[in-house]
Amino acid sequence: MDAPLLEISALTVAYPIGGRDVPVIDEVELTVRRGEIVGVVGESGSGKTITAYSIVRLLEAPGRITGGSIRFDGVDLAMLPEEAMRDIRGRRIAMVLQDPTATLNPVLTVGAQMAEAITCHAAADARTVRERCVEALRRVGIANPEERLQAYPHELSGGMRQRVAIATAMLNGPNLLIADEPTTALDVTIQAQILHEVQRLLEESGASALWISHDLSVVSSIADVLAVMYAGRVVEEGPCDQVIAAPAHPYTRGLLDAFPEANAHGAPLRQIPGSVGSPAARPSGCSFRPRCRRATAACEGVPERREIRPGQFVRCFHPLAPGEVA
Amino acid sequence: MTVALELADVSQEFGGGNAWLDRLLHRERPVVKAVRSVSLAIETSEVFGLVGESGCGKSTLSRIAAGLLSPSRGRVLVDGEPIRKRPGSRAGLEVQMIFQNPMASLNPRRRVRDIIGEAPLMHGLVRRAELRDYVEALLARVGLDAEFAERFPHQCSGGQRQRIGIARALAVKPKVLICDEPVTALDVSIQAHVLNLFMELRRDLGLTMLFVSHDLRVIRHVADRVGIMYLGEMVEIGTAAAVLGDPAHPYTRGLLDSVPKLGRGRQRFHPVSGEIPSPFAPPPGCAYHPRCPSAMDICQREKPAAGIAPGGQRVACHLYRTPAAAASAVAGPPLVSAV
Repeated sequence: MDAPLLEISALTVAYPIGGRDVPVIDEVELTVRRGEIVGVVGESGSGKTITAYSIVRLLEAPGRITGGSIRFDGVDLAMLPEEAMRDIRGRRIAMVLQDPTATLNPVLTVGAQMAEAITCHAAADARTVRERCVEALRRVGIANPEERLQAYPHELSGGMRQRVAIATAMLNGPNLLIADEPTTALDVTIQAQILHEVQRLLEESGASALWISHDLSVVSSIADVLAVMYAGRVVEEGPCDQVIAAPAHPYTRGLLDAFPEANAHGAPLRQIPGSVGSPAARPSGCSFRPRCRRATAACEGVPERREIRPGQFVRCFHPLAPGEVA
Repeated sequence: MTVALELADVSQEFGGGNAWLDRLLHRERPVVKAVRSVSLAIETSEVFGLVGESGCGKSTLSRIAAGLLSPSRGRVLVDGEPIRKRPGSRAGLEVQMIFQNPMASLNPRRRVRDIIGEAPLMHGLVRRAELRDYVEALLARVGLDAEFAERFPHQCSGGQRQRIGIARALAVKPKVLICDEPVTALDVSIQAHVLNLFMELRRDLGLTMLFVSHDLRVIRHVADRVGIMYLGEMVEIGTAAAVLGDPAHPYTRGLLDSVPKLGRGRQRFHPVSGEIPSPFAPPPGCAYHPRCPSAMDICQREKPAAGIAPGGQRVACHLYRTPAAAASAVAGPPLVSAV
């Protein structure tokens, strides 16, 4: 098998809080193989966005990478000079964010900002640039792409703006698309349209994707591999169907059980007690232990990542057997 | 069963009118028909789920139901009495609203004690000497410790703030709660906590609820009856089992098929095409016809009247006027298939 496209190992990012470095993500392990869609799920504060921003090195100061490596096609991005990073960002690794109104420049036409994404990486004549932009818009399902190039972002609907953002991200034929909650702000019929377009685009281009969402059902409908984050760590990772059918971490089990459709109509929803604390007040050892029904004294130590079933990794001292309840 | 909340042929328009500047410049201000002739009766202790996408008028309808907006046409009745009939009437207090974003609906400069205690004190529901116990009992009711009374909203988590919003609504002893996307902003595990609280309140206090959400999974879990709105109109209304289990309107089917399913492996989406049209210029005839896979000639010309679908729900669609057309629509291809 080929070497993975992206291999994150023991990645730690810390922010100084009250005079000491507080890790917000802690020894994160994540692998994206070529042509694969990896879904990352987690609740607010789990560190999924920080992980994405570390890969493209857009962490906001004073946050910084304090350990680990991010190997992308054989190069460690954590060590790369900014000049070289700028060449990779937007060309080989592209990003789509939750709110397209924040990512698109409100005073430039769609055409102008799409053209910039091409010309900042390579010289190209105006006609070629225009043709590539039109083609990119057509591929994300935008009708009358020539006209849309003249439009300003505020003249487009939310779904249309997100399509423009995706088209722009795919312009340079990236090897990796990082999508951070790209459909969260959209209506459900528009979400289905975007998921459909992105699935098709990725299949055609053979690019890999890291798909971040708080919604397990969105991720499970498109991902090959699922990674579950909790309080700054990847607590479980494995083939998507396998993890959903037989979760090994009590947190993954709890998330699945809290879904309304996993419960009888009108019955109380099974719930995970408590809530995620702030990074500064995380418990030592396994961060999930205050909310976990299986926690014992052993959980005061940090659980190692281990392979519990083929391809399925978990960080837990008391993992669940298939079919076992938490 | 008695009807707790009734909306009778309610419509809401925004814009229009002619301000002096517009008259001077000979221009007309556009009119949006946000809600068009919606009728709805919710029985005591019933949970009615209202579903729709952005711009369908569900938030406008919930504000009308809560008495926060006076409809352009139609009436709102609480226990048979017009809402906001006279100052000091109980009718205004009997309907309380819970908002999507508690950070925006709770005053950031006031302590939780004052946020919850102000309304019952003003309306004479509790004496000042008893206020402390009253507030603490409400906090306990929504699952918060008494110590929360001294906190400010920013010192609470999202789930806790939503509980405070619920306690504030309960403080004036309402009969009806209007919940506008109350769990949308919350994480999945916290969503479950708050949904369970709503179900407990309904069971213990016999509350009637209008529960607005774009999330069909949430609605399916909590609602007894469901209404689906599209571009200001109610297109389908009936029991949750009928509307969500055996949907009749092509839009309801499109919505249900667009929801990603958990644990079905990778899905191939066959989404509803097109976008929601602008409410400034709704399409003629049936508002859904430009996106509808079953659209016929008549759909472009005539607005469909409400008919009865096989599942017993009311549906505004031309397919349900002739039995043959209805049969062919039901046999249509599924919109999502597994890969």
